[in-house]
Amino acid sequence: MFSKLLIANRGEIAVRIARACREMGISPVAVYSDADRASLHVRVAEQAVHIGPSASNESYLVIEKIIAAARQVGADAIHPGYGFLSENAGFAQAVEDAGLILIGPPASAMRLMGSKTSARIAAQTAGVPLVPGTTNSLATLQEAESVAEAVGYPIMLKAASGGGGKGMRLVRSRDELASAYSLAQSEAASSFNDASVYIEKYIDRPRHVEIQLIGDHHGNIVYLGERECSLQRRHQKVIEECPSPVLDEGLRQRMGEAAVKVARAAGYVNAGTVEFLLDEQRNFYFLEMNTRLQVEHPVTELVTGRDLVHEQIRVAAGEKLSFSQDDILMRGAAIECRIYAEDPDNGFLPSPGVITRLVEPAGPGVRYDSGSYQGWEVPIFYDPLLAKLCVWAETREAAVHRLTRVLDEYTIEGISTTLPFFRAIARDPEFRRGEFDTGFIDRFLDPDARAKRSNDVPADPTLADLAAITAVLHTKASARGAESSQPRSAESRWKLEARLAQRR
Amino acid sequence: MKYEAEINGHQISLEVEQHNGRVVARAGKRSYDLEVATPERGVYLMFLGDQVHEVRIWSADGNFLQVTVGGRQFTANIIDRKHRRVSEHRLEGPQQIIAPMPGKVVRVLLKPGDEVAAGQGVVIVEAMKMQNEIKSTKAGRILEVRVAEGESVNNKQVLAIVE
Repeated sequence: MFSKLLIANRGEIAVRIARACREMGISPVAVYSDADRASLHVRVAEQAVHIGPSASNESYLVIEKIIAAARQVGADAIHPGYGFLSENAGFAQAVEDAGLILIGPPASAMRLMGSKTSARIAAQTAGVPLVPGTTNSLATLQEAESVAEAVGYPIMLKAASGGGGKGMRLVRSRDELASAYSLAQSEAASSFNDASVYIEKYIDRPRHVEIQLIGDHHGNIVYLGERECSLQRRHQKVIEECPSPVLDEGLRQRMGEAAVKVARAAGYVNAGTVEFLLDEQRNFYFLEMNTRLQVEHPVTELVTGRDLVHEQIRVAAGEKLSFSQDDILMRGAAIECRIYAEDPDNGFLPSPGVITRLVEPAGPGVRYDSGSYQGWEVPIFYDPLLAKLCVWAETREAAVHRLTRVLDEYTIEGISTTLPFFRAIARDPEFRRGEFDTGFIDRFLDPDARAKRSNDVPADPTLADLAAITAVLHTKASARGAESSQPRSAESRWKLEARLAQRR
Repeated sequence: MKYEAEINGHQISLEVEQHNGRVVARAGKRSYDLEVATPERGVYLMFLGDQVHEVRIWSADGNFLQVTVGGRQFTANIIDRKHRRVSEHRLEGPQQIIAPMPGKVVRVLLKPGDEVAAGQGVVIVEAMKMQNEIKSTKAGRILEVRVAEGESVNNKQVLAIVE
């Protein structure tokens, strides 16, 4: 087993990995940029190496600095977390070349699954269904017609050089195809300088369901159920659940076994996730594979009772998986909310600043993975994820009620966060019924939907009245504090001390 | 004393009298007889008969108070009708001068130690091809300037501190 592990990451995931290290008798080493000197992930480490200026591309993304830090402290292994270098095959290779162990898959598997084309080919070879269609461009209208017939309407005509949701056209039937095809081509030519289009089956109101798996160096690969990740805003996940409300045991097994097949075909070792799209008939289609630990892994850990990071480290140290497929049982339901320092009332723009008060939720069934603390200044250089707030309960319905309770207890002051946004979602009837698809969040945030929610004035005005009365009391108290003999009121002196502490 | 409150954009007329821990208030046509305790800074425990409501309140950017009660969030702005001046709370202690939108600092007008008047420009931020002079919310002295010319800033980023 390793004696020292360098964590090549920051924030909540670096804290989470450091905790696993302490639990396993491994010494955790942090790396930090200028902005992160007093961050929580440094506070929980035993050693910490400064790796440069605040910008990621001058610190956390610089392979040479990470390797040098590991050498400096004599670390045996490096955990890349998620994001940053975690899916960088060049980094995996550099770690290997340096005689160190990466807590993750081999560089070859990372390379294979990192490219969308080779990943799809690998999945296809493994006999796993893909989103039907072509990845090469259509040469003629006739080819488009025959592909469309084979795939089945409705289809999407997509620009080969397009992206970000642009250059896509929905075609519902054969009658529409000819004109859609020529229009799509001319749009593609003018927008992307490339008239090439291809076809993909249109999946209406899809669900995004992913399978967690882990493999060891002894040929064992086990799947640990699924996660439902359909609640996304601009293709970023905001709420994740385990299990998916629409999977039964049979479908779970089919998807799990398909995911394991793909992983085996890739020679995969350590933790990974295979992402699928589910259509309304519950057919699943391979999307891609993520060759790292994911942000939302806690919901899987809560429902299966397994610790994935412990297992990752053990696998990397050459041990066999501590469980077989038959040992994996799923119990209850877990939901995770990603709490970001973003302003939901201002286009979710980042909201940096000092967290003046933090009241962390507690009580039964709560798992709170955080990289923040009261008095911390949220830096502007990185993804503004403050914490992952997870709940577990025996049923999804109980988990939703628990989530509502926990979101109400959780308090963050001093910055804007997505907490109010989650409080509104937790109360939404469609969310509570578990009937949603990848379009839910965008519909929820639609200006008309928002206006309707804010105009739904509750019959009882008591809360608004109490808010107003308290605001008056607070204003008067603050004014009295300002007029007192002390040069600063207690509140502002506290804030000033917090800021001064940050500068030291 | 009478007040006007703007709660989530809705106007409420208030009368509030406070004697030690007892508050007698009217909001519009509704009357309230409350006991109030303050277990922590910014936390008010309102006892209304046998109901108890925990109200959390904090000052966001000096313009509004953020209030959470019963799982609901409100923004509050209080105007003292008698004295017709905006709430005092935003003027106590060091005040953050913040960027109202993301942009780029094109000029820093003052430096630490400089005296500044309320409403005087501290930093010029350019965004969406418009230049905005960001002004000090109070008279005082510049304690810190946290940005430099040419630097990009995010919405609500602290530009300077005035004490």
